Amino acid sequence: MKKYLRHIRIIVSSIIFLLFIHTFMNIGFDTPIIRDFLLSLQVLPVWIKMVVSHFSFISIPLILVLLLTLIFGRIYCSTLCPLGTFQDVIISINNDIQSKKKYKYIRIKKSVRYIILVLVIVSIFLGYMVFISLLGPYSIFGRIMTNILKPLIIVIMNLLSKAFNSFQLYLIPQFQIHHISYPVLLFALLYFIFIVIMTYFRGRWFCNHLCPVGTILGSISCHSFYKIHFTENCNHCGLCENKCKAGCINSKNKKIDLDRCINCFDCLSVCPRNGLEYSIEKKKIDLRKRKLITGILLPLFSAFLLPVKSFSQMLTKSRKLIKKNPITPPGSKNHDHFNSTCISCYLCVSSCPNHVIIPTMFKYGIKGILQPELNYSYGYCSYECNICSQVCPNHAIEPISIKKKKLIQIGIVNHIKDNCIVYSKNLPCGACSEHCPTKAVYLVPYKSLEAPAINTKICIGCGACENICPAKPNKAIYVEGNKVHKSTRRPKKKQRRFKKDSSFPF
Amino acid sequence: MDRREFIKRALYYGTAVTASIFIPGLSKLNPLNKIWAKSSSKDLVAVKGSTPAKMFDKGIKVLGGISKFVKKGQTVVIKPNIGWDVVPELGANTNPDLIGRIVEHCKLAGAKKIWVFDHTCNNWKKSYKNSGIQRAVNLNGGKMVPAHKESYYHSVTIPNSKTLKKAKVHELVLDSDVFINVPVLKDHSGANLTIAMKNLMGVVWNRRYYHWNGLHECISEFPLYRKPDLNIVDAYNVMIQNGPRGISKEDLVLMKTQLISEDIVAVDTAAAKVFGRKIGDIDYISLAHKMKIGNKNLEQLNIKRITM
Repeated sequence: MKKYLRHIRIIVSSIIFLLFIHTFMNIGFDTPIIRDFLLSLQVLPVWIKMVVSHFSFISIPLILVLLLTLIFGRIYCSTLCPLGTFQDVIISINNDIQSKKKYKYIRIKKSVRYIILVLVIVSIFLGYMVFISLLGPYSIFGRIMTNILKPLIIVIMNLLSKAFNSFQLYLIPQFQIHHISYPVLLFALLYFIFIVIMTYFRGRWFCNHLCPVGTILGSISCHSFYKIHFTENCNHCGLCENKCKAGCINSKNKKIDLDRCINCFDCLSVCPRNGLEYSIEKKKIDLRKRKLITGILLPLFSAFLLPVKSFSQMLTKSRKLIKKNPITPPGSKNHDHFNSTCISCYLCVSSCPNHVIIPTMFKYGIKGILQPELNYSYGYCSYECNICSQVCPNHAIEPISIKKKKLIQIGIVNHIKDNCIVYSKNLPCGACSEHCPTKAVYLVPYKSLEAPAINTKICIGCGACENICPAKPNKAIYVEGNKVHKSTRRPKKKQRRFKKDSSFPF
Repeated sequence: MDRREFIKRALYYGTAVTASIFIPGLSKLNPLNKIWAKSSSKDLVAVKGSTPAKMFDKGIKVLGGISKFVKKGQTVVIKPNIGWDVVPELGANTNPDLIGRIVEHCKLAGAKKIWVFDHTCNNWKKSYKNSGIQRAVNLNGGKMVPAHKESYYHSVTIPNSKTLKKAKVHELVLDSDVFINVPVLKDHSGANLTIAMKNLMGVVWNRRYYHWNGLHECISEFPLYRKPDLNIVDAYNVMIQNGPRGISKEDLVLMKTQLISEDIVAVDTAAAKVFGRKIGDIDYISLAHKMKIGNKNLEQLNIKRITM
């Protein structure tokens, strides 16, 4: 049985990883059930979601992940974590390129991991998402996927498509790469290079030195029921230690640091003489209970300890002034809520069908590092769409119905007469009014033409006007973001009387 | 004419007619096609009082059936208005049943391939789907084609134009044998009314060029490149205000009308009259008439009026 654990792990983690890639690629067909399933198992986003909702619900999947770790160990790290599987892929590519890598047992200073964990927990109270964005495994994977892998896959698919098409085999459609944010791409590339280097030397170094989820699950897994442990058959040959990508096996002393073991089961497969076993150990449980408390209780009950809102509000008063307010997606309520909840995973960026949500570096200041905004140079917010609010795993964008979304004002339209084709060139236009879904932008007579006028009470800030405005070099109509989203009135539905003719008018 | 002339002409016409029957695509060269078309059909058919699909059945019969326009083995491109991500009940796109019926007719006439597309304003996948047109086309054996990427469009020069010198046009309009234009009649905040000529904006890539350089001029000049072989104006459920997207169903009036013509200027004029707007207010109609793209003086035309 234990020989197959490694194979099972590889199959399950591959399936989950491919599903993640499919979710972020967002081409072809939508699979909301798969997406929600994958996201419900990610520890940090779900925890943030619970805290933000002031524990109006307890996430069952999160409890299941913690229970899974308590019973079986850090299975999450080798199967459900997208960054974990990503590192495993790089490690196996490394192994194919060069001769078999030999790992060694490493001793680590546990203090660094726990300092980071405390920082992350405090951050979630204070609504300061910087450390979670930078160190959370799901966020890191989301950014690598959106900025590097997705464009790469599209380029490869387009090449294949062209090749097939030249043989009249129209099997693969072509896709576009929408908007590349170069600073963010560079940032993601740095992470990518860092991961390649660290996995080459130390395997799953990130998982055991920096990753806050690894620290939480590690503090639970050292008390797990099923453990990997040595048997009397072991003769200290060290094959398992050479294989261990977590560097947690001390073959000389026949000890395994279970808090760093990521349950990849490679050691079980490589041992030639049944020196290792994965079973319930008949030993007394370690008495260092405080690790258990850190692992399970703190995450679950942290929200009861401190009021989230007031602390985060205190910190936000000293924010850097931005000239033009960035625009946050409908459902994010206001900038405070968004900045104190978004972990920059870019699933909204990947899922937006109009490609209007884009990554930014410092648009919201340091506090909002990497958090995305709506940029109407690249698209506009579709009137009949609420997808970003449906995909956000930790409710930085809260789920809202399409009906309610049509009444949220995320920004207000402004018209600049000097740039407008009608006013400055005396030519007919009206493209802004054409696209306005509420007719907040409408036309009034101006000389022999018709010129745009605005009703800000029904404007929802969707940006269709700004996006389509053909004025050069600067747009004549644009949306200024609302720091706090407002509600609008429904557009008036009046019917003009029309005389119906029974005969033809010609 | 003398005997030699007569024999030459007879041989030419005979070969052309025979060739056009056996070689698909050459039918364009058949000079008799034009003669047949002129003598048997009307310049404009106006139908009233039934559903779009049934009105089309009646209307196209008057013109001799779709096989007057689509020969066996030809490729057809149909250009409806699928601009907006809106359901059919809100009248912002061409009626899907009408498109489905047109595809069906073309299929029965023996068309080799029937393509349908529009360079949509809203998200193309959603517009294709929610307008109901994708389903109607697929059910009747046609194919919906994407038009959202610049690579599908190729640069062409517009002959004899003043404002629209060049345009990037969708490859299907460049390649297909038959081009059928199926607009929906609506109020339009930029161009006053959107009918057949305005609908052709959906086959070019850079629409902003039109607004920047002279909207009505560019709209009227595009047909100089290629006139649709047939125009079918859907005036069944007409958006009389807040066009082209509309806000609610209160913007619509059920007019149950349909206009079919090869003359794009005539059909636009007739549609404007049905709508109740002054022709003089719609610049692109007068401009196109001046360039002899078509005839806006309906009293000079042979019109068949049908009330069902």
